[in-house]
Amino acid sequence: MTRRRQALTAWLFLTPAVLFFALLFFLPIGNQLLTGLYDSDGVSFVGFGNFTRAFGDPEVLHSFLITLVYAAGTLVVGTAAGLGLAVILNQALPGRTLFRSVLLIPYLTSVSIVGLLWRNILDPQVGILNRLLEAAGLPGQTWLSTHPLATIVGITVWSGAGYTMVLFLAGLQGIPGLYYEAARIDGAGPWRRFFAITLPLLTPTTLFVSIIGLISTLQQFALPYIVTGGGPGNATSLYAHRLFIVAFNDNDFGYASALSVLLLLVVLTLSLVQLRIGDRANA
Amino acid sequence: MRERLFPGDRIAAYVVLVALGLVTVLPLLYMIVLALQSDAEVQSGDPVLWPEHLEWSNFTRLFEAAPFGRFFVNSFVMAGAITLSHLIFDPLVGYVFAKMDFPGKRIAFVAVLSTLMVPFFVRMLPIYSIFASLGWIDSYQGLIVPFLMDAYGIFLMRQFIRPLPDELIEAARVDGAGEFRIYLRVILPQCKPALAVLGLFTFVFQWNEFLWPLIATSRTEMRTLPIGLTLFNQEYFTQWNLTAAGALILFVPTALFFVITQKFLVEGIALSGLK
Amino acid sequence: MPPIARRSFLQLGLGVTVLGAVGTGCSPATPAAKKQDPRTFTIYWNAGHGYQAYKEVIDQFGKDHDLQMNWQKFQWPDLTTKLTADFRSGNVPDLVEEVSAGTGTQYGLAGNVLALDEFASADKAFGFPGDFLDQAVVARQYEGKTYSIPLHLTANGLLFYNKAMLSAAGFDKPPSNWDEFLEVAKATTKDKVSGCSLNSDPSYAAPYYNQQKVDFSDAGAKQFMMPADGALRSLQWMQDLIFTHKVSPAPVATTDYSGPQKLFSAKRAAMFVSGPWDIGPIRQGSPDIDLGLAVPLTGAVQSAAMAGSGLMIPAKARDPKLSWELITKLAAVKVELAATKEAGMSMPRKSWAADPAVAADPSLGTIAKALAVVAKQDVALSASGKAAQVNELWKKAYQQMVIQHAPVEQTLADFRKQAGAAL
Repeated sequence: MTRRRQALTAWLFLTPAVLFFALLFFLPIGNQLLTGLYDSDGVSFVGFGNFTRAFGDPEVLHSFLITLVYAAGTLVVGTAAGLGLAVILNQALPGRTLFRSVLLIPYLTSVSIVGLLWRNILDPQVGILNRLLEAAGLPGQTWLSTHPLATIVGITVWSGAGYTMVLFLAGLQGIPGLYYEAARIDGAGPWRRFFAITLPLLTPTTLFVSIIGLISTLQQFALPYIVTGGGPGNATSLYAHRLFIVAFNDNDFGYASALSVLLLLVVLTLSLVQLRIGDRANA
Repeated sequence: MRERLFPGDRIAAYVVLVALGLVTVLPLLYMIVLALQSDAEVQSGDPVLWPEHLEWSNFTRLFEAAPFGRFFVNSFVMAGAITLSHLIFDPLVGYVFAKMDFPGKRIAFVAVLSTLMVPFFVRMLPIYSIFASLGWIDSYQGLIVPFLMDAYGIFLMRQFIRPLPDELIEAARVDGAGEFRIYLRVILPQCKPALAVLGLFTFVFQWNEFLWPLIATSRTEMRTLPIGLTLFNQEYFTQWNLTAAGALILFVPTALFFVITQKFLVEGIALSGLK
Repeated sequence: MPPIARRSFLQLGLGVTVLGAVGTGCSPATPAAKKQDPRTFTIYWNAGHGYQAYKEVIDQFGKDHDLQMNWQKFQWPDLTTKLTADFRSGNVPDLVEEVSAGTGTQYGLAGNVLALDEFASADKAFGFPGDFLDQAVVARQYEGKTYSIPLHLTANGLLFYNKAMLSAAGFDKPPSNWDEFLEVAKATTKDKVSGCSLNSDPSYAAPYYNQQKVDFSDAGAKQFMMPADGALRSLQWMQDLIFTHKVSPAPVATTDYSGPQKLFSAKRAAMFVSGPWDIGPIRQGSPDIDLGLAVPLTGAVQSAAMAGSGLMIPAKARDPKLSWELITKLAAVKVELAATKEAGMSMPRKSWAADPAVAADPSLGTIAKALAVVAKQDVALSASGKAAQVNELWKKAYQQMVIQHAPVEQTLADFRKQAGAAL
């Protein structure tokens, strides 16, 4: 096909998307980001003042740091769990449909319910987990107070592992059985097949999982908002949570916009890096 | 003769699955327990493992306190229409990015991807202002239009379409098929597992969406289910039994949707095996 | 079900949905697809305050003025988020419940809600400000303008105690000062029972530091939690309750304030300090507990922290006079008494407090005594527009001290610095 024809087709197919994104993403986001150049009263122009303020703001820096920790923890554990489960449940095990469904249930539940439920369960005084531990003669837990960030990671993995598993399952099912047959004939054992065929051919899926995973964990706001309110202190005040507070609690939309821009830049950079690595591996 | 990874690997697999399954399911079963408790049990401070009486009336109380049926319909229309829109547009755009080359492709893709990197509440206010002036507050189009397609779905489809063999497309072109026909007849049928996943996740996400419906509606009849649920918290405490009952109602359609798309996921194996 | 049928079912379902969405979007039966119907009156209210008493007033108002009343209920954070969006877009409701005194001032100075003095002075029968308790009024005024009308008036600082537990430990009356409180707490702490229970919510620290004559803020002078020795004493005492004397469990960071109440209801705490809102849940959840309600403790002084919602009129409301009329009806003494009867809520009117029904009720009597000693609020903080930000900083500091056992003096100093910088 000629380059010209291809370019024309491409842009033709893209027209609805171009319109949609322009009107419902770029225009409103651009509008909001412009407010980043103004002070909280919305009138005094401060240029990049909000940005320099962010770099000197200990709350913002702290929240950025714990967000990175949170993202790393969630991604590593969540992806490994999802992949492991997908591989196991791709086998012809009896009852696998049941397991797949069960493991996906947390993902189907809304995040506010998940948050409220776990907050209820983990309460050291009146939560059911500690009552059960007590009854079994075991010491109670106070994870919400002693390890709040790890708890939030745990809840995120609990609710998201099924989702990652489904994505990997779809990816696994896109790998033609012929490759495995050929490898088996050649004498390759199951581990060898996994590393030589499965993992490489899963790269598009893995890339998707890790980029989307990174984008969403770096923007996580609902869980800390609902489970711990960002506490104790600011131990779980993730970046997007801090951003929401600045916008809707402090009413400082200028500063909030600057913070969104910074988030955008970080996430964009990390995603582009991953994309580059992934596309190279896929080529 | 089935291959073994290591002796007892099947048993190990089951142990892991059952353990994880329990960890997954028990909190949700506890939610059912909560939904059936009485108000007194919920406020008593002592968690209850099994209620005195099964208060099925909690479910009817929900419907009495607010027009839950209407919330249900609103949620369904909103989530359903958005899912359909995604299923129409996302694969099309994903296909363009996956298989076509054109000037500006890299930038366009990055631009699309970058829309994922800004939390929704950042674009929420300008959109709300525009919709308010259009009179789209308290309307279905107001709920649906901001979500007609998104970069997540486009990216998902791009990743799944990319590995499809170019030969198929070339062959169809040689046969004289038009571009759109190629997309419809050659590409789309290959995408069933991905479309199933996209449909499921889009529906679930929109079904549970809270922030936009909160802002975009101001009449009770237009509220969606997740917002309807917040009506049951008193100012200083959460009415766990009613909230849990509402959560269960909220959960049922997503579970059903999952069961339906399950079959597509399974069929995907058969289809890819035929190549 | 064979595969084909399942697929068609799905397609059918989706098809119906789209038709439905498109159809409803186009049909004249869509609720309010056009601009806001002028015969609709929209109210934003807290979901926990949807009393029958108010419903009757609102319904009647709708009948009298031939209006469709759109009474929307939310949780406070959602109401705030939505209101913020509304103010920025100009699409505002006609009447809004104010989360606490000072919020109206903040919105008012930003031009988002109206000053209500003209309405009040033209409407002598309403009795504002004369019939309303001073503290409730003053906290809602700035530079001579009033930005909201108090709807409820409650006090945080009431002492809840389990009579049976106290008498079992040898106390036939509740503690009245800090030393007695500690004594009782120590005596009632055993096994799984704690003498008292502190709250993770920072506003619950207010009674304690107010009792040491500490003001949360003096925004004009950029001072916070002063005098310093009083602040140190009160927060250190609270921290010691948990970590030194171990008479209270460390609270858990959550967004719900019912922790101590739940513990009390489960008979795992003998006392706790809170407001009238916890009376209902205890009576309902544990009717077997002989609940004692006592006036706030006396530290250096006896004091309680003021709380209670109000009513505001958005600046761009369609018909402010109409909104004012509804305010007068909702805040009438008759309605206040009805709401009290229904939900036990305490009210800001002097005529309410003087009413025989109120005076005769022992709990309400205790509450009224607490209302009489509420500490003054710093209106300048609300006026600065930074109140919410400073409160966020205080929340962090409080939780660090009380949950994470951070050194009190240092944490207070950090808080003062950050709060000062915010202004």
